[in-house]
Amino acid sequence: MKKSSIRNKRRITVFDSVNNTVLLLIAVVCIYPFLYILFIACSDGTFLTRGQVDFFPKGFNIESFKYVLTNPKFDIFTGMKNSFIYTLFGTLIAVVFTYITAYALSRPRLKQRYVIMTLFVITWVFEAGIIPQYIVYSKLGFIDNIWVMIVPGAINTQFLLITKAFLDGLPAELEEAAFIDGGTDFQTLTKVFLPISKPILATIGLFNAVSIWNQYLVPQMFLKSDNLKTIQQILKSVVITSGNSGTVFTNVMRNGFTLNQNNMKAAAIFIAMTPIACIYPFVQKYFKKGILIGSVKG
Amino acid sequence: MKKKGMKILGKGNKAVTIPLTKKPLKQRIKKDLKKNRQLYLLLLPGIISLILFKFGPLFGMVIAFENFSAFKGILGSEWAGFKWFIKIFHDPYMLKLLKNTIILAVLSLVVVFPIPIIFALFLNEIKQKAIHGFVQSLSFLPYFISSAVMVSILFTMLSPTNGIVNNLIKAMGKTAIHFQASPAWFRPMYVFLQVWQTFGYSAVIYIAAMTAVDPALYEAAEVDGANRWVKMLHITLPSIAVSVITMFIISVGNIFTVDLDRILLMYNSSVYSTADVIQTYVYRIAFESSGFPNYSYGTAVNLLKSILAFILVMLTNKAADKYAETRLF
Amino acid sequence: MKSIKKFMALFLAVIMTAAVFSGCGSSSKSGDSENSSGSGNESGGSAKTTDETAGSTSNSYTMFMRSQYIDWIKELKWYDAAEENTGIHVEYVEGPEEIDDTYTEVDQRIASGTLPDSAMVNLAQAKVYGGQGAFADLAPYIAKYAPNLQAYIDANTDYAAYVTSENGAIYGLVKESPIFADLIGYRADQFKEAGIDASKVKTVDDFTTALETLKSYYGEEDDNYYPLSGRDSALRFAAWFGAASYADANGSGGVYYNHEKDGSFNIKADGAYGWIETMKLWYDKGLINPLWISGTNSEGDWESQTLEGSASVFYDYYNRAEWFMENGGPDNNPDYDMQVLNFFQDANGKTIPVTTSTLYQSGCVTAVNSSCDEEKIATILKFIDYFYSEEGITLANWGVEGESFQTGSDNTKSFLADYTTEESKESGEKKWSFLSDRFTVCKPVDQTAFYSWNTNLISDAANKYFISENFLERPTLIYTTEKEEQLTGLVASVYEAECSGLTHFITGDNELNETNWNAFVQEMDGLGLSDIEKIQQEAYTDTFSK
Repeated sequence: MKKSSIRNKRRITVFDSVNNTVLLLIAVVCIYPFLYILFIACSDGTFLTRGQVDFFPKGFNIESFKYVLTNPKFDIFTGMKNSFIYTLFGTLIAVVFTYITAYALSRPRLKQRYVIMTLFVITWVFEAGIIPQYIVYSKLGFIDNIWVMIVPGAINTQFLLITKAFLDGLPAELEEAAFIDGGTDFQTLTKVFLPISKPILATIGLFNAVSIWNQYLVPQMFLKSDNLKTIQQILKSVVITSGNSGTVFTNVMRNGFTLNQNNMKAAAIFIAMTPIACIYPFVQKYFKKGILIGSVKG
Repeated sequence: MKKKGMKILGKGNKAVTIPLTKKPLKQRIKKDLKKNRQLYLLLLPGIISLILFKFGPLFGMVIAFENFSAFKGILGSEWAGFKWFIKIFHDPYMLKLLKNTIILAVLSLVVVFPIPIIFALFLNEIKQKAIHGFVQSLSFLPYFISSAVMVSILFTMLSPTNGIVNNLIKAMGKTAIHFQASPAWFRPMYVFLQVWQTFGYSAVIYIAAMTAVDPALYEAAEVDGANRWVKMLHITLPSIAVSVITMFIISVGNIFTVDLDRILLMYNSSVYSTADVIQTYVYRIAFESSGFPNYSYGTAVNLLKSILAFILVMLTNKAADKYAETRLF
Repeated sequence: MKSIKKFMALFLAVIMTAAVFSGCGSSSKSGDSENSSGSGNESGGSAKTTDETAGSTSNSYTMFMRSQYIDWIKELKWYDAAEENTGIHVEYVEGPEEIDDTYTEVDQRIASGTLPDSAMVNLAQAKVYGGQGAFADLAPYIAKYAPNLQAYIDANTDYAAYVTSENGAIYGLVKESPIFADLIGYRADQFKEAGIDASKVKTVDDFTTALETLKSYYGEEDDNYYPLSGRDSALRFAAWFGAASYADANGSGGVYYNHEKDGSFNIKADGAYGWIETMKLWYDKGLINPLWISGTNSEGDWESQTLEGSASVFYDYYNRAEWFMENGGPDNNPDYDMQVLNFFQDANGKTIPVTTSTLYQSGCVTAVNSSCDEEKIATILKFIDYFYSEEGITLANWGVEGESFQTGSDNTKSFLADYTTEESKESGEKKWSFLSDRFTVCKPVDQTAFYSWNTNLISDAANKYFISENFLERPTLIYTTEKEEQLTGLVASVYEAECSGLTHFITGDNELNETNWNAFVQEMDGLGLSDIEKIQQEAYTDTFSK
């Protein structure tokens, strides 16, 4: 302890200051684009069309946010609400299913566990591709069905492997002790294993939540109704393709500021990433821990 | 145990084999079921999910051997044999697709892979905890952000009319570049997004491996008069060697895995010549064709790709086992 | 106690799994049996309306359609009147915003069995899937339930030939479209300021010179000023160079199928090389918006550019000049004045004919799900039949007498409703509108009404320029189901490759010279262009030798 504190007290060299500055710059570069979007959203449209907005907003106003949020054609609220629901339930179910499956597969009593695990791995490595997936899922009734965001992806083989590795790593005596006390599987699972599995649960929960929230292809293939669309789909149609919907993007004047499609798009992008930006500071430390648990076994 | 088995075998020779050998098995299953009833119950969702959602689509791949009609379905469509596979080998576009797929994969491997390692090495040299934490937190924020947002931001910044990048280019007296529609720029943009989105995340693993290094090693080196670079190269770097090899093998195994979301969000018809890879082509042929979607042909193309990818992953898994003493599964 | 709670939670989760799986199963089953009532949330809605109308299920049906068309329908006053007059309500199931995506979703809905009672499809889909049994053969039902439509079919043999499959079945109903061409809109005020006399812009070369003048006048202060801009594909000028696709007695060139009007070009035509050379010149000199060339200029982009003065000229839908005048042009700039340019002439002073829309088109076809019972089919046909009755034709083209139109002493009709007031209403508000090129229902089009429903700017231009000498011949070709299926597949891949190849010539990604050009043409033939031309030519012969 003492020795390391000596190390830390060492004077700051040129290398240190250069290194610190460069890395801080990298960090700023990482988030600058997000700020840039904010500046665009807050600028007056006339300056944007002329390409006069670089590092700071010009003609500052927040009309674009008001417009995008109040115009029902943008459907930002629906998208956010849907994405939130899918993420919440999807994560919940994914964590429960992955955990109980991993628990069962990590019991030496289960003789078929190698077969089952191999089957999981085979289907993971050998991809069927989106067309058969689409056809089979559609026959299972997943078209325009919100469960498509929740159920089929609940057991991700990679997360299953990580969870199973974690449970395999726990001492066998834990289970033996519980069984000697006359416990059943359910009791052992809830009383003995669950309390010490919090880190792995947090990990797979976070991984799942991020992947469900960010998914684009699955909802795009299966969720067709406007009222089921996720925020990512709405971003794609509003910002990237912007399609044939000329009515949405015609210039409007609001309180003396010109809003054109660039402001509106930027506002939509910024709103779409706000929730993640808000929770990020609170979950990032769990996330870091999570990656480590996952990486113990490679 | 052995003896018991022998006895059963012995009795079996006297023509009572079937009932006697079967009975204990049945009983064993019964006993097993009774004892592990709850265990099987816990396994149920997993099994159902395995059959429906993982094997279901695999079964669906039979349409690669059919003249699949959307209306007649998988079971009702007529058999086509290897027609579509023969077509693949006669389709000049396939070569282009394969080329695009491999170039994109190799490019993202070569460029994306070393960056987090270098980043982690330098980050490790920051001794001020606050700065270290701040930089690391910001660096993997983009991992949380969806491809849709990232692509939107990229295109806003690169907009030829009012994006900041082209404003700078124009300020230097050059003509604006139309990144979004330029086949030559597609790959750099794809790789850039990949780096931006994943370098901080990948670095976490290396940074963790580095913190596990015994501080005594550094102190011993210091006593020997080693400077920073020597310590970095001779202590820090070897300490993460296993992680590096493992990650590299994983990356090679995943060479056929492209970020489909990202390409689909990024590409438009003017960049097909570089952006079209096997996966996007399969998507396009099935879900964006202006004619009749050829589900069978798309599946056949995908089936070949899956076989290649499968072999590659199996080989790399073996390699990982051998060289990094770790396995992916 | 805590552990029991936890156990219960876990147990509930397991039960939930079971429920979810069984739910999926049953929902797919209900999807099959309730094909007729749409999918997911819609089925709930329609079930409710069925209850409310107590057994009178025959008064409504569901229809899958491109979402934008549905938005438009909801604004139409005359459409409401039609539902009232027939007592039939159509519950629309929203499809994607883009028309191509809409057809793709039809394929998907057929694959998943979630097609509603009826759907907007393209003719090839109607015929192919109809032949497989997905769509009902309407021919016997039309005879039974739709007398006006039957009379129309009998009177228009070309229509009958167009919609009927070889087996005599009618799997889809085609709409009638008004005939019009694109017009060039230009900022008259900017032309004047830059010193261009628009009346002297007579040939394509004059046009190029005018663009150059504009560029040098306005390009100085605005880096993003490109005089010529637009939306969708920029490959729309081929006809000016005599390089439009065609099909006639002597043969066929280029992709004519589905590109009779828009994106019609023939890379083998004599003028094709010159066309691309000119576009390359426009591109190199910054006369045409490069984003448009590369296909990334959205409709919104183009509108912003044209409204804010970053673009002065366009060649687009015929009433667009008017649209800019109504939608903010003069609000931003009081001098804003959008006018219509004359048709161009060739070197001999002869007007260059352009491509036009055709009366019957393969898009926007109404097909009926084969799972519908006779009663449902009768309802659907009854509704469509109304628009083939005299009352329905008048309503859909002119609206309600005394409200939206009046009949003069010479028995000619004229609009009472004011175009500008009606069309500038906020989206979502009810209005009179008679833009017949849009798909609302299958109906005969009154060409007079179509042109009259404009401001003077456009109706004058239409009357002046839309004469048969100015139009290229655009025959309606009839294909067999097999050929049509083959053609859609070929066109899908060839047309895209053609566009991308031509774009690369224009942008310089591929150097434009004779060798490269010939290699390009050869490559397209290899991809199937010559097959397309052959099918089109055969179809022409088959259609007109009868």
